[in-house]
Amino acid sequence: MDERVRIFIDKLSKELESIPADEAAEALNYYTEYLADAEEAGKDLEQVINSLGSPEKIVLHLKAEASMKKAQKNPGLRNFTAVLGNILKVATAPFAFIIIACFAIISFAVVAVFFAASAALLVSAVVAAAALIYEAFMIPVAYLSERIATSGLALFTGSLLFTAAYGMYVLAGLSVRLSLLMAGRIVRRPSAAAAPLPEDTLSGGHGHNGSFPGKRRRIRASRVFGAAALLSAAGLLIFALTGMPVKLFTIFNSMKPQDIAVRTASFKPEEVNKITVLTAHSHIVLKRSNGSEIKVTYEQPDWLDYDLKAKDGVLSFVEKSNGRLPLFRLVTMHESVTEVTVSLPGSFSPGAIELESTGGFIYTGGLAENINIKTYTGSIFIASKKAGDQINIKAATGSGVITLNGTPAGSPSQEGMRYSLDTNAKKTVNATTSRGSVSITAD
Amino acid sequence: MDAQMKKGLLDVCVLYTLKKEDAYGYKLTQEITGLIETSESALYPVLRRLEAQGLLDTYSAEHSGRLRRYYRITAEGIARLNEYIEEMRELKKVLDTIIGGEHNG
Repeated sequence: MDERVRIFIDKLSKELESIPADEAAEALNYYTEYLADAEEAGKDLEQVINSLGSPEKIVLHLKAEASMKKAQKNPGLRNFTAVLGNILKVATAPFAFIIIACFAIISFAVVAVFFAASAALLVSAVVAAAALIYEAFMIPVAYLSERIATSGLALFTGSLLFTAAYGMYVLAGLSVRLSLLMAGRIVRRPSAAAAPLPEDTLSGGHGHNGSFPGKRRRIRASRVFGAAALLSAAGLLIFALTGMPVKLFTIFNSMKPQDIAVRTASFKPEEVNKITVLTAHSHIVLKRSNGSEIKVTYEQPDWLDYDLKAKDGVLSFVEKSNGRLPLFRLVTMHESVTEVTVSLPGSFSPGAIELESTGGFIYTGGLAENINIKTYTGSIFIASKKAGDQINIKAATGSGVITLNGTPAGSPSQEGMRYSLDTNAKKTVNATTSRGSVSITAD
Repeated sequence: MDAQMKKGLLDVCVLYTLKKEDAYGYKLTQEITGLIETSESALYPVLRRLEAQGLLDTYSAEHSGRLRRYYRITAEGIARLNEYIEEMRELKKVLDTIIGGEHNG
């Protein structure tokens, strides 16, 4: 073999180490044979080798082609990034490099955003479905309809989010393909390696070997979409048929629920020196009455349970879930329009009163007592209408507002708004809410 | 010649040359460079791709003590070539009108 040919082939085989072995062997064979035939034809080998170009350049193009083929078959982010890297290397002129770099950055950004959105939606689908299925299994078997409703909701939410995720995935694949068309134009410039992209790249394949299976993929995509939509619709139907949406609609539109059971109980004032009321999202109303006993009235909706007792001088009312509503913590952020009313006899003054609710509103009126009020999202209403009930008022809200007789009051602090009314009275009403508002009416 | 135009033509030239006669890499390159101006290393990726698309296939034959790889057009390749030729014919009609118009004006 001629010395120059040997050097060229050695260099080429070294360069070819970075591409798949079978491709490398093919290429090496071709060029070895080519040079042998050229020699046999009596050509000036120096000139032939020069006209072939440098081995680096030859391999760069083969690499770009190979990576594009790979990305066409499997349009993932990694394969696509490899293509962009390879076409950047193919660029030689500085101006072309800038244009190709712009193209690479933009198309990478588009593709990456679609892939990221797809991944995020997929995670949300899994998390949402898993959370709702967990909720469904936490509902007691006695409430079968709610269990089914929650499972339906899981199916609906999960498949809807999955559909969105798959849609993003399809868009990502599509943008990879469109970018590959552009990439193909860059790599296969006639001066370097002239040839058009296969015509079927866009039209979805005419069944040639080696063209990527666009048509088959599209059919599969529409099947996935169809199945997901069907599942989602089935889930929604199951959810709707159980009647749970009506209940949730009632709660989230602050409508009085149906099927309320009214519970009442009375306690002797002399046996009580502390009152604590804790609700999930029923309103708490504390007021004076003409009676001689402490009277508790509770409007109980069918998704809540309660515990009412007087023990060791403490009268306590606790409202809790009976397990019937899924996502109970979320639901209790919104008030239920049911009330627990505590009426105190005119002269009765307990040592301490604590009222707390997650989402329910708390109303106190005409009471000169030490009262601690706390809510998360529920609002607090304090009325001191009688001339006699002089009280100090301390109010604080994280993200709500404080109003005094309808006009904003208080001063901003680090944690939100703060208001303090000091009348030198002995009793203080202390109202704290994270996200609700405090309305004070006083005359 | 315009770069875009040349791209499509290289495929056609390869298919056309192989339709006349099977050829090995070096010979094919010689014939193509006679038809269309292109760099000599440009042909290999084209051949690989046309082969992958099933438009041509290869076989080996012995030649003076070594194996030589020959390229041969397939039925599918001939069909594709005829499609190209049909397209070119249409293009030619348009070109004739344009060029003819220029001569008259």
